[in-house]
Amino acid sequence: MTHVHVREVTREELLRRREAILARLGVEYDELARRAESYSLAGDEWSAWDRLQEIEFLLGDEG
Amino acid sequence: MKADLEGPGTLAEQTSQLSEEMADLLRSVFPDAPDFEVELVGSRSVVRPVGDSVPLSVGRKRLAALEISMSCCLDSVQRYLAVEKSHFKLYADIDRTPILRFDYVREMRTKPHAHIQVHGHRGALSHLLSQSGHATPHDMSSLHLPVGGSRFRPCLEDIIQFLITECGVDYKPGWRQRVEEGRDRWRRRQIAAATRAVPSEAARVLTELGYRVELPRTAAGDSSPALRNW
Repeated sequence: MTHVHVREVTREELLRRREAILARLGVEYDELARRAESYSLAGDEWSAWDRLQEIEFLLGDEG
Repeated sequence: MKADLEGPGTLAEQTSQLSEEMADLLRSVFPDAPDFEVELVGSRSVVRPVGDSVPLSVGRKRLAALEISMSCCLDSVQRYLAVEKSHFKLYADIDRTPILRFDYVREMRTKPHAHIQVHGHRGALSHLLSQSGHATPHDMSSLHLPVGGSRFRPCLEDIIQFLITECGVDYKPGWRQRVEEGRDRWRRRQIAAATRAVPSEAARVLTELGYRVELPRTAAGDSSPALRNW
């Protein structure tokens, strides 16, 4: 049986999640963005950058 | 009939339907395919497998993963679901850098809207790019290989078939039929969208095939971006 879990998330939850991702990597957002732009991400930064991009997309509606 | 009368549904409903189709497809072709999750904020949504990726095995040994993400919203008339961005990334379990990336970005300025990036190295390519002054000549992944623009880009079914037939990952019996059914559905949607974008060409071809086509009073023009963007 197929399961799809749908849930509404809040801006606050997304901001907390973004902070947690950056804290885990030990890097500032701008620095990570610069590395992504120059194709020099490494290791877990690839997946983390994707998660951050998703968060930015979802937050974009609020701005 | 009810759905036709009431329209295609809310963002949540349409995103859920998309997720169910993807989850159903993946569960029918790959062992251990996960559930899907949808996150919604206002008029935007993100779809991904629980855990971000679909595990891939060879001979029942887990070796790789296909990471999937789709960022969605409603289209300009707030009616149909539009994919703003999507990516399908192939990872080997021994490394956290992707091997291949199939990306789509609806609002892209300089790079192709739909493209593939290959994380590899080839001396001859590095030589060419260094001679042409490329900023990162040794990084093949900085090249965005164009794959048909918004309407003719590969679908998830194409990537699944590539993984099974070219990469040799494990699959479930009956996978091919499910992949072909899904591809049929995808291409019909894309053909419908292409017809809406370039109605004059659709009318010309239908007329050529013997159909009788009448221009409506307020005929929509052809979309230049649909024809010209890469």
